[in-house]
Amino acid sequence: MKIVNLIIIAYRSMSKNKLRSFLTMLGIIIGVASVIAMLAIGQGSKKNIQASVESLGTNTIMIMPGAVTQGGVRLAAGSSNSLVNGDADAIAARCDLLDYVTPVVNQGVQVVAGSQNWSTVIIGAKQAYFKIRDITISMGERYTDADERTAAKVCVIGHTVDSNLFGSDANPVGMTIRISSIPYRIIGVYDRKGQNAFGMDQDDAIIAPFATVQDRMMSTLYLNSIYCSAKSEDVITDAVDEISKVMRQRHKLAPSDDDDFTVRTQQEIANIFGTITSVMTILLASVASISLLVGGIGIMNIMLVSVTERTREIGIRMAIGAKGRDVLLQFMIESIFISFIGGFIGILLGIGIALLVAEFGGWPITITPFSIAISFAFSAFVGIFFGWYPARKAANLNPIDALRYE
Amino acid sequence: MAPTLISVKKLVKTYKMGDTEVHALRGVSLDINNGDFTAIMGASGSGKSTFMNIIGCLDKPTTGEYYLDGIDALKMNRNELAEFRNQKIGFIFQSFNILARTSALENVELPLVYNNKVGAKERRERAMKALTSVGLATRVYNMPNQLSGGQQQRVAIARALINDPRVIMADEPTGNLDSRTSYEIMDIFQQLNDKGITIVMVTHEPDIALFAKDNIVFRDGSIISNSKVPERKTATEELKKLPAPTLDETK
Repeated sequence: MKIVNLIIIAYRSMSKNKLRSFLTMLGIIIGVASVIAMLAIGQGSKKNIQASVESLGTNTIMIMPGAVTQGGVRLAAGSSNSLVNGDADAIAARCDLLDYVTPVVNQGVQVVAGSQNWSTVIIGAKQAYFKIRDITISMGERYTDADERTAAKVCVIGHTVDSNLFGSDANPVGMTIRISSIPYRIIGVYDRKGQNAFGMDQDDAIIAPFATVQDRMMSTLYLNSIYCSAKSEDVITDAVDEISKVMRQRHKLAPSDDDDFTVRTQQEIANIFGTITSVMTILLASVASISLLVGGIGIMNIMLVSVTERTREIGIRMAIGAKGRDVLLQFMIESIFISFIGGFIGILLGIGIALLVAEFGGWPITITPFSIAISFAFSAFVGIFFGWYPARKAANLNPIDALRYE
Repeated sequence: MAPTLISVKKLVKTYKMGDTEVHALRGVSLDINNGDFTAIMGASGSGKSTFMNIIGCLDKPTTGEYYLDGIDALKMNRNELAEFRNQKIGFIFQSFNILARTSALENVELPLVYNNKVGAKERRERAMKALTSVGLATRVYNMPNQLSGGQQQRVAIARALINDPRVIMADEPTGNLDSRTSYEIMDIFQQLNDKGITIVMVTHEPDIALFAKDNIVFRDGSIISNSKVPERKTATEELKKLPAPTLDETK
């Protein structure tokens, strides 16, 4: 029997029970739509988080002092004073895979401007810091190499600091702020960077020349960290190896010794968040796919009812020459039809829901061809899998019993 | 063409109902030739329907031999039997057994749908021809619920005829019809038989059996008589004897 005829038969029997076919389809529609919508939302937030991690600068490598053990007590990473200016210089001089290197010191400070004061953090870093962290200036300018050499008392402030000290309308460039009684001239305000991946406000900081902060303010020989940027994302791993080699050599570590410093890359942080969001996406999708499964059971249920209801019809068809295969295919095509059309409508509906969520919820969404393909394939599979048993049952009927069925 | 169309030998059919065995057929042997019009009679439970189902290839006997058109029907598997029924046998049932909510034309087309050798266009043409031959040319697009019992049975006859079967098997074809419509159906049967089509018909109405050429009587799973009909009735004449048709009687 030709497949075209079977499709016509399946189409007719569906159109004879329009409401029932639609309700059966509805299970698949909801299942597919929720899978699509959940994947879109999950992948959208994954992208969103990735973007915010990348806002730290994608090629950034951070070197921090290692954890130390003092009298058996292990202290947190960064708690030891193992980084010095010479380390930063050596890395800058000897690592070929790096574009920029800057030593970084930072300290929490209380800032005073006129009658206002504000608690924030001051970051002392060389000019390269702006390049590494991808910080751009919205008002005024950055400090220069000359400021660095002379340890000039100038600074660039973030928007949060600006609005807390001067109100949101004023232009603070040229104003003076006092940090630990020392006056600093504001020469610029940097562009908003928003929260970082950890929820910290990146605009709540003051950036000043490295020498100014290390020598004048903190009077320390040690560094809080060294920031570097690799030449490209591809060489990050190699750059990390290079840095470790230089650092181990400088710190005179024997091969058996542990590192007394920690090298972190944005890649690692991005990977961690990537894993978290992937898990979340999978979770959302698997919850959604349960509804697809329920839709599939709905198909099976209706097909079983349909087979029972049409036992006599099956008997007639067999008496006049339908083979088992013909009956099997007739019912299979019907369930595949339902799941295909349901899958198609579900895809449209799912995209619609995702777009609505994006429009009114302000939630980022990403609809990939992959998620469409996978949910369509899944719905087709559901149709075949759950349609097979009832169809098989119909095909195995004995014609004489089917004919006598009342 | 072999003169013997249907040949059964020592057909036995035993059903198991719990612990007891029911002997539906106890060794039936029979030959039906090409061009025969045989009526099978008997009380209910006499085994006539079981016999009919077996020669219709819908059921298999417990033991025995069955050749249809020279082919051993008991050696075929399900699919071969389906094709065999499709090509060789036209069925007509007491309860018509036409598909509900499916037009007369599509019902008649059905056997050809399961026949790969026939295309859609030829199928439609042949179905139209078959419906015309049973006098339903004006009703082809009607649904079964818009047709009278007699008309539904004609649709079933047209469906049985469409694949040019070797034999028509009718199981109580007039069981659900009034006498006038029954005679009309018998009229069609006799015309078909005159054209050379073999007909095997199960009936429990003696007057309907008189339209056939041979009468076979079953009792308790065995044939107790097999005889030529002495005074064969002609449906055309019987119809003339009936009072004039009422107003809404349609053909």
